[in-house]
Amino acid sequence: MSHFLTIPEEILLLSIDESGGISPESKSLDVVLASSILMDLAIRGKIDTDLQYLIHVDGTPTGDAILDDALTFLFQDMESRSPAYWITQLGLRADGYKEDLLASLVLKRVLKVENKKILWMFATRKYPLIGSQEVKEVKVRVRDLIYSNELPELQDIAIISLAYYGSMLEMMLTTEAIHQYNNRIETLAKMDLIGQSIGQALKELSVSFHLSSMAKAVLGIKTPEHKLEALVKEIKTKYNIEKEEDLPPWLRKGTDQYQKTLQFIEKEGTADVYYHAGKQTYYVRNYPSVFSL
Amino acid sequence: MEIQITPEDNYQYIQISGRLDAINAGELQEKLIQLTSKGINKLIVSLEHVEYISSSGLRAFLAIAKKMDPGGFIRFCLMHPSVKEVFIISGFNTIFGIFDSKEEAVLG
Repeated sequence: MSHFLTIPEEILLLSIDESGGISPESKSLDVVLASSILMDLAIRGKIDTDLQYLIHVDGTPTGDAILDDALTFLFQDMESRSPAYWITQLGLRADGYKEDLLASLVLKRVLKVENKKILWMFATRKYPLIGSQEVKEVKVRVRDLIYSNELPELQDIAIISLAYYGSMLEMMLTTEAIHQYNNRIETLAKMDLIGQSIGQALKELSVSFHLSSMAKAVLGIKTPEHKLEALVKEIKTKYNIEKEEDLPPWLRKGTDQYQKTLQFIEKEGTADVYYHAGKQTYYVRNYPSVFSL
Repeated sequence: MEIQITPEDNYQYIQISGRLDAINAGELQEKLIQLTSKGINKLIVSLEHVEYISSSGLRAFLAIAKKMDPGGFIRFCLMHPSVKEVFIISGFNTIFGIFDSKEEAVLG
């Protein structure tokens, strides 16, 4: 692949607003990022998909740390499973991937890091663009394709599919253009079968997810145990997980890792945390989410 | 997967049999791009004996189509129902012509 940025890097870049923040409204971003990783791996010939399953093809590394972490994770389970299942599983690791993608974009000199304090108390981190060339390049490429009848490049199909099924088209196009070129956009978006699974995964993202989070925040949850239980419940609702065994160990009750999660929440005083499996470290999120309300 | 290429008057007739997936999509892509690089850019592809196609197979056809000169075409005929379903769900039927017979594909 000749592109300077990977598909996950491009889509994350598009979700960064003018001030350098990641849009907190994008509750679909975890699912979109997970899907973007699968799409990139598919284009690189590491995995394949059909109407039912994701197929393991080649587990040798790509040379990209984030893609390789996901590839290793995928090849730990060789069962035939749907793309939607893997989107969910990678979505559970999306907080870690977000941090790694931001670090990669900083390293590639696309973004810079700005640490600030709000009211001299609350630390926030922003990732403003160093220049706007990369974002413009993605947007121009995508617009040119949508406004023409050209056959698409695979990476552009992926970006359009992610934006379409992840309800993120407004990041690239005006509302008028979205309406005017709706048929063309839909045709291009459908061309990626992983993209179509995003639609399925997002449909399962319950509307009640956001509302129940708000309610819990208003009611207040006091103990670390309650906070963690609430976090697990939210994640199960968000990703439509029914079986405990489909949860990662750090969220699965009865595991040693669950106890460590509990200790971390107790220490930090918030359940707005995630576990980075690659680094085997817990982090508090640097950007707003429903748990920081 | 087997590929049989038969030169006809104004086009090449490509008959593929077997599965079309990540294992062999590269081989198909390479063979057909070799044709286009020789200036042969009118292809009619029979998928009568292909019962399975994955995303890799679809991508191979897209890559071949992108290598074609203006005026060239890649048309499909005699498509197996299970493969046709994949083309329809993925929207590839809107960018490629799909015909019930070889004769209809020739006429376009």
